[in-house]
Amino acid sequence: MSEFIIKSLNNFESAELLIEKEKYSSSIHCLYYSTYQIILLITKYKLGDEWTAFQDAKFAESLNSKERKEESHNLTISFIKENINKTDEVFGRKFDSKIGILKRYRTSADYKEDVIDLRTANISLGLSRNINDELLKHFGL
Amino acid sequence: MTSKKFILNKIKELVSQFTELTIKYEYEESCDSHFIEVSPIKEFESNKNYISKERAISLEFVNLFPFEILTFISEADGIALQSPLIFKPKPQIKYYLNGNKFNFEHIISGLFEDYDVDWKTSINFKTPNRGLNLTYANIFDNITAKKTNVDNLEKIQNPEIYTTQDPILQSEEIDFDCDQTTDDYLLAA
Repeated sequence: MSEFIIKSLNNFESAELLIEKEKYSSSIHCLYYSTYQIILLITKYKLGDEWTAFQDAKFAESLNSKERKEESHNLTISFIKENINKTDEVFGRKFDSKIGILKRYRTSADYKEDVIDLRTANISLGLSRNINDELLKHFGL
Repeated sequence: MTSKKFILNKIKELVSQFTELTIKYEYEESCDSHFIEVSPIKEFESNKNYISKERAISLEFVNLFPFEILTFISEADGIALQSPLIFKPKPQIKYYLNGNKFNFEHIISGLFEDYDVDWKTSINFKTPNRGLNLTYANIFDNITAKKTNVDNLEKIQNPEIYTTQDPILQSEEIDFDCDQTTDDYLLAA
């Protein structure tokens, strides 16, 4: 089993424990990374060549690629979005929306003074679980 | 072109093409993400033409701005945008009078150039107005009940534009600010 899968599952379980302990912000951090690690798994084991080509092309096109490399989550997500949308429009649209919302909650939880409540934590839990399951199913993992 | 300019152009296209939509846009700098909230939910979820257009925009955005994220959401997603830009088309309200079609928005625009118009509910007067705040229904009743005589209507070049003799307005108790109008009262701007 890939280490990414193990890390993703651990992060998800940690999030559930953190919610039980009412550590809602931290739980959302874990949930986002649980999903991001599934995305990394796909880029490594399912779309390796395409991912390399996509990165090369986009970094080459970008005027400030050096600065951008440090913040490559968006690039990774964009790559997966494009790939899914080209093969499954319905799932592609759902993925676009759900990952964008989860990322927004994660930013709010980690970088802002926003109060994160149980409701937001539970929404994030549902988003992460749904995205993870659908990604694994879509890519046959 | 910047990502924001790209998105604003696309939103204008969407609002122009799908006139029933209201669109809110917000950029979240901390995660370099753009959010477009589309309502009503029914259109967001079921309008195939809209969904197809949304998909095309998403793919174009990924291609042009892969280091940023564009997310389309609906009100049901529960994201509270903090200070979004809001886009909605002006409704084209059509009224029929004795078989003649009026574009009510044009009529009101012509009558109330000096007023703020909330096209959904009412006209709000910019200037002192003796407490009047007329709804469309009031205004339309005032206009049509007293002065409309289809025989007086004179159709001119554009079929949406009409002129009429209007002796009633000048003796109206309510001042519609039509002091400068001549006998040829322009109903549609």
